[in-house]
Amino acid sequence: MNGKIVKQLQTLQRITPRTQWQSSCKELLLSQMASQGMGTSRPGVVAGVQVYMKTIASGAYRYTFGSVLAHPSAIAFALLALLFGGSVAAMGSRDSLPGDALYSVKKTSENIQVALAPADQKAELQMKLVEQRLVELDAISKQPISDEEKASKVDALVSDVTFTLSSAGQHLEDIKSTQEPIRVATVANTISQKAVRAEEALTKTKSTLSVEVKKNTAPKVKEAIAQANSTTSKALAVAIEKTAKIDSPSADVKSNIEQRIKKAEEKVAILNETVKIAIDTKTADVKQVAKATQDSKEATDKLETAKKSLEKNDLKMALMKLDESYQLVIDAEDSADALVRIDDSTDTDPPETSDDTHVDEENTSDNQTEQKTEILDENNQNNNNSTEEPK
Amino acid sequence: MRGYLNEQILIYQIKRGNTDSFAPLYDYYVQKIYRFIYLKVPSAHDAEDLTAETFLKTWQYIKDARVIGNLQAVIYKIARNVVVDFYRKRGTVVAESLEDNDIVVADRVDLTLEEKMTLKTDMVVVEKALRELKDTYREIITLFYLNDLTLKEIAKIVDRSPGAVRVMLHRGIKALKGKLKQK
Repeated sequence: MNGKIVKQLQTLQRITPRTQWQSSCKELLLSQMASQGMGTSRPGVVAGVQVYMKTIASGAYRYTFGSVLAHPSAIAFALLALLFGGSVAAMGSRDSLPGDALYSVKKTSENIQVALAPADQKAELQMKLVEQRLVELDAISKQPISDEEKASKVDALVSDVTFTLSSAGQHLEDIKSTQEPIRVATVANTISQKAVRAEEALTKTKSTLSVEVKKNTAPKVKEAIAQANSTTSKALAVAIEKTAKIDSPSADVKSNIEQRIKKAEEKVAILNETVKIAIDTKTADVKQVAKATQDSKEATDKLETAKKSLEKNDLKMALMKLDESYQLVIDAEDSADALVRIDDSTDTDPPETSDDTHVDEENTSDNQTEQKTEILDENNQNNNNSTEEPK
Repeated sequence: MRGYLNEQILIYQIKRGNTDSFAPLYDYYVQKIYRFIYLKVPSAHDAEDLTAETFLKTWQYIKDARVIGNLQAVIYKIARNVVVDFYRKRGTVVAESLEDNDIVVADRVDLTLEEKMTLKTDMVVVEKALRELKDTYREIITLFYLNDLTLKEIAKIVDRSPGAVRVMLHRGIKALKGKLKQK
């Protein structure tokens, strides 16, 4: 009886990675290790060329890069890649999108780059990856594919954005105490600016999606926007902390906060407009209108306090009030969404799914006594058991 | 089968800075590690990303560690940790279709079209049943039946005694039979 199951299981030995990915990944790993100069006996460029020549000779790229290398600009790219110790595979995959054959090569290359980057460069590198994901998101949103496929790709990309934003924030925290304050402040400022742009890009892309795709991807997009906001806020807090050690507050940090206040004011204005429409058309529940109005007023008050604090150069207080008002605006936006939804009776947020069951690292139900009893029971019950390994 | 001595020589060369020596290790382990990870994550793309990450971390580990007695156990443990981190960071992940093994079946030039379709169906059914098992059972079944490790080798990876591994293997197979009967 076991023989049949074993045969069925052994069909899964045919699960192997794609040949193309296998060789690309190897080339990427080896060339990145060599070009980082981390313990190699040969210069990075030479190492890169040697790996490249071996790979071309093996014919691994004949199918993939035949058309790419036919174009002079592609050859120039390849030469640049080798010159800077990069990877031909990575350069060839640069424009790929989720679902393309080379997309995983692109992601692998990015992951390796981040892993091997010096600590003080990881956060900025992560933000570049966020920008890349947003470019891909924009491209996907315009693809003439089915709503279902689009929603799936958008979901995956947006999740990636959320994760990468969070990682950038974490890497910034990691260097807070290990790098010079001015360097940390510079990195923090860059991250906050890019996170703001990420939030804008996400909001803009959301508006271009079809109703069906928007509905299916709403939770993940909301999460990504919230993460962008959180990363911005944390980065600004770090920038303020580090520039406090310098005589005058950084003009960049101040300008950053000013822009965020302006953005929050725009959101409040849109919210007020939505409430007004709901009141005029008499389509909304009175309580919801009252809540949205209250949130809007509180957010406006906090923004005023933030502006006054900024004028006094109290950046910490300005940021605190700004964050509080942002939260109110987000809550009010949820209320506003409810105001304009007339016939839709579904919740804004879908029900939580149960935890993924793929990973169960704590096998607490097994203990030594139970195992011994089980072994005895199994040995007694199953006459086919032998002391040899069951194969 | 790679020899312990050969492996130690490669480790020594990697520690001395010869990155080329990493290539044979990669070639030997990549398919097994990929398969191990593939059956733990939602998609082939995730498996590829995590496999690359596993090898990168293995390389870093080899450079930093003083002594490595059992490289196989090290690589598999790193792979397990990489998957755990994946789920910690990504939260709930929706599984993609199991049609990824289309690629695997398409490569089989020795089979007729009908045989390929049968193979694909079998693989999908077994893979689905395996994925529905508790992670511990799935892991041990994968290591034993798919990756051809011994109970002793598996025990070193999962940090349990060979006896406990054997028990879990029996339970896992029993659970798998139950799942397959339902389909």
